[in-house]
This record gives sequence, C-alpha cells and structure tokens, in this order.
Amino acid sequence: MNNHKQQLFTPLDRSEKAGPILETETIAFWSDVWRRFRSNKPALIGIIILVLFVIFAIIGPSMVSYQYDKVDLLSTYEKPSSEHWFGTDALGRDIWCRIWVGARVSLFIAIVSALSQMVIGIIIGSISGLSGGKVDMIIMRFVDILIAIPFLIWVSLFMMVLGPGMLSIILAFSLTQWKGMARLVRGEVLRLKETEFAIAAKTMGASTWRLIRKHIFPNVLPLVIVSATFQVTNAIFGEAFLSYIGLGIQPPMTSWGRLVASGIAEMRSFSYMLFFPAVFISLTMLSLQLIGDGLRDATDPKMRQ
Amino acid sequence: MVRYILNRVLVAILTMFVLATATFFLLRLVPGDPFAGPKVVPEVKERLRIHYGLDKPLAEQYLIYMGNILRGDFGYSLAKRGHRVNKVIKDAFPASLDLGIRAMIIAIIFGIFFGIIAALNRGKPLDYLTVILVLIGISVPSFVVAALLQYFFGVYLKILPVARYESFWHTLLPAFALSLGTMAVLARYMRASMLEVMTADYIKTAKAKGLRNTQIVIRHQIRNALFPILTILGPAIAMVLTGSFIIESIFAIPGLGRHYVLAMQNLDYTLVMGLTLFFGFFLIVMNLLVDFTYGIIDPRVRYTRN
Repeated sequence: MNNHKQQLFTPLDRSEKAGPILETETIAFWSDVWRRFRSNKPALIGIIILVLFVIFAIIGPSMVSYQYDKVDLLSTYEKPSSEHWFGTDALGRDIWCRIWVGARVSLFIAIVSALSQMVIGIIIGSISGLSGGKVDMIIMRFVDILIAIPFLIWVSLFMMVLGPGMLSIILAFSLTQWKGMARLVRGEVLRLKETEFAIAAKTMGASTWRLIRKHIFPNVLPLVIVSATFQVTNAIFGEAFLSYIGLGIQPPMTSWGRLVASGIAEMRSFSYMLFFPAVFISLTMLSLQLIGDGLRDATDPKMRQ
Repeated sequence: MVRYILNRVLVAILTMFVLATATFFLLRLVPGDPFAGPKVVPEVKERLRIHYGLDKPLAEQYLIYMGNILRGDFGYSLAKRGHRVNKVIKDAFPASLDLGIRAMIIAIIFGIFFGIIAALNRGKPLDYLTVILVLIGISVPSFVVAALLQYFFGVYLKILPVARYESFWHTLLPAFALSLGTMAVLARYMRASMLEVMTADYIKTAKAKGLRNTQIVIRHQIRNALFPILTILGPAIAMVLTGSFIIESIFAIPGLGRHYVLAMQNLDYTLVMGLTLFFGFFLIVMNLLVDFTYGIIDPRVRYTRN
C-alpha cells in the first residue's frame, strides 16, 4: 500500500518544478486609472498648473534680462511694472526672476526627497513585510518610535546637525520621512502575500523575486504613488518652514520658503513681496492635493463601479 | 485590556528612551561652538566647557544626561546664562498650553461641524464650499495665514491686538490661525466618516423602524461617525504643537514654540534638547491617552492591535 502511494507521488525534479510562465502585459489597470483620472477635472487642473510651474521654473529666469542675485540699489522696492513684472525686493533684485529660481530649488527639493523617501520606504517596508517574525517586529517598533515624534522636530534636529543648504534638507527629509511609506508598504505586502494569486504563483514554483516583481510590487505601486504625491506637499511645506526659521536655503540662493519669509517681514509696506510667493506655494500645494485625491480615487478598487 | 495598556506603555517608554538618546548624540554632531564669540578668551572658553561638563568623555556625559532626565532635570540653557531649561519650560509652557487648547477647541468644533454639514449636503453647493475651504486650509501655509490675519485685523482694521499674549482678545488671532490646518483635516475626516456610516446596516434599520431623519442623523450617524475621529486626535495634537513654532514666533507669544525656534537659531544645544524631549514626552503621553480612550470606547481595537 505504502509503496503504491510513493509511486503515485514522486517528487518532481527541480527543473520541472516551474510550470510554463504565461507572461501577460498588465496595461489594463493603468489605462483604466488614466481613464478615470482624466474625467476628474480638478486633478487635471492640478496637473496643468504644476506643468506650467515646471516650465516657468526652467525658462522663467531667462525671460527677463535680470539675474536672480543681481543687486541694484537704485531700484529697490519697486512695485510690479512692465519693467519688473513682480517688482523688486529690498536689494533691488527682480522678484519674477527670484520666484522661478526659487521654484527650481523648492520643486527639486520636494520631488527628490519624495522620491527618495518612496524608495527607502518601499525597501524597508518590503523587507519587513516579506521576512515577518522578529525582523518585522523590530522594524515596525522602530517605525512606531519615529512616528511618535512630529516630522518638523526630527527635521529641525537633523538640520542643526547637517547645517543649512539644499542637500541637507533633502537628506533630512529622506532620513526622517520614509516611515509612513514603510508602514504602508509593509501592510500591503502582508496582505498581498496571503492573496490567492500570490499563493497560486508560489505553488507553481515562482521564485521570491518573481513573486515580488510580478505580483506584489504592481499591486503596491498605486498606493505608494498616491502617498508620495502627498509627501511632495509635506516637503514643500517643510522647506518653507525651515527657510522661515532660518535653517533652510541660505542667501543669495533663494527658495519659495525664503521668499515668503522675506515677504512676511516686508508685508506692511510692500505687500506684493508676500503676495506672489504665497500664491505660488499655495497653488502648488493645492495642485498636489488635487492630483493626489484624483489618483487615489482613480486607483482605489472600491471606486470602480 | 491590561495587556493592551501594558503594551502601549512599554512602547511609549521605549520611544522616550530612543528619543533622548537620539537627541543627545545628534546634537553632539552639530558643527559650531556654543561659546564662540569674538571676545571670548580661550581660557574662559575652557572654563565654560568644564563648568558645563563638556570636557568629560562622551559616554560619561551621556550617562549623566540620562540620569538627570530620569530625575526630570534638563540642565542649563547654553545661550541664556543662568537659565535652567526646566525654568524656561515652566515659564513658557502655560502660554503654549493655553494657546494649544484654544486652537484644539476651535478646530474640533468647527472641523466636525463643517464635516457634518458637507456630508449631509453631499454633492450640493454647501458640500463643494466645504471641500474648497478644506483644500485652502491644507494648501495655504500657516505662516501666510497668520501673517495675513495679523495684518488684516491688527494693522488694517485695528480691531484686534497685533501681537503678545495678555488678554482674551490677544488669544483670538493666534488661536484661530493655529487651528486652521487641524480644522481642515478634521472636517475632511468627519465628512468621510459620515459618508461611510451612512451606508451601515444600523442606519437602514433605523430608517426601517420609521425614525425621523433628524433622529437618525443625530443619534445614529453623527455618534458613530465620531469614533474614527478619535484616532486622528493624536496627529492633530502633534499638528497644533508644531504649528505653534510658527504662530508663536509671528505673534510674539512667549511660549515654548518661540523658544524652540530661537534656540535652534542660537545653536543652544541644551535648550533644543530639553524642549525636544519635553515636546516628545508630551505627545507620547497624549497619544497614550487617545489610545486608551479609543480602547475603552471600541473593544475591537484592543484585540486587533495586539
């Protein structure tokens, strides 16, 4: 009897283990997302505003004959005119030019730090979710500890250590802000690991790497992208905060945060100095919110009806 | 429940310990000399270093520092001679706490109110109006809002004091400016929570029983929608706390937030450390309280989080 059973169930040779791999392109999901995102007007407006800002950040400074750091003491505090579109500041520097140079700095910081947080968060989150057990517990406790203290306090501490400057800001954001992303990714990985399609792939002999690449990562991605959009907002506000308290970008370089800070100082006599940078920061944050909301609605399976 | 509380308390203590250690070592790495100055003679500098115990080995400094913290002593401020960090906290905390509580009350009342209004008028102009207000509340940085409020009411209309923190009228502008971001977040969550509850079975039951609409909304919908809001009270308190850094600086309020910003600008290590720890401990305790309350109200939490 026993012998008979063994004959029926002989273990497969290793080479035979993996069944034929059927590759299918998964475009359907993203084209579906795009279709739903496209019908969301506020989100589209957000994208248009952001694209415009990026274009102007690239070409804006060269549209005028001034330089962002060129001091001109004969034309200080000039109101907006055909000469200086957004006026000039206390040192006679052209604000139009400074706004777009500042946009380069602020947007660069925001996008790069959001991307690096995303990468760190995905790596740590997947390690935690995939390995489980002790490793998972230690990483998650660490994340708990980081999350308990507000982001601005961590960032200020790091900025004191690293000194002011663009690289320090990016580093401070990346080092302190991956925790939310890690937690999100870990939760998703834990959930996806137990899904039927993942288990099916595993029993069919898919390697761990293939499992991650084909089955887990594509399903985590939408959530991660939505969360990263909101992280960009955080980074823009964080940069503005740091520049406001004097730990951020140092003169003569400028950023939106610095421009707002000097605008607030001069608000009573020269309100245009606050008006322009404040409007640009607010519009950027608003666009990102709209895009984030739009993406979340477009990628949320619950919204598919 | 006991296990749940123990677990939370243990994590809280661990968090405090890690925070204290991290602050200590991070701030040792800060470039710059707290005693630097054109007129400070090297001998005086050396004596200052000895006086503040900065000549001892790092490990010993760390042990002394942790021991002091356990006794609730945060040491001296480096920049303000003779000022104990404890005294700074004692003097400045009441103003910050007062401002924070006022801001939280405004944020909670209006945030929840707007959330309910928006949810009840879903898809109608009032809903869009609330959503737009929420987006503005999230998008416009708090220092811009604060500066504009200060200018409009204080300088232009001259109906409210521009700065300082002395009477009820002084508290209005800063408390409102501080509450806006939190208010927007609360309104957004409350709206979502109300909409989610709306489809619950018990609402259908209530309707089937023939209850009047106002009764359903007040007794079933709002009450149940409020529970999830509790979970974001922790982050909301943190938001108000970090918001106070800017608001207190703008309105010249002698609170902890302003001290913190000044201490960072002056590279006053010990004051930054002391205040960071104080903020951290305060938030950790607040989060614990929120967790406990939630655990008591909603028994499911106790089991799922363990």
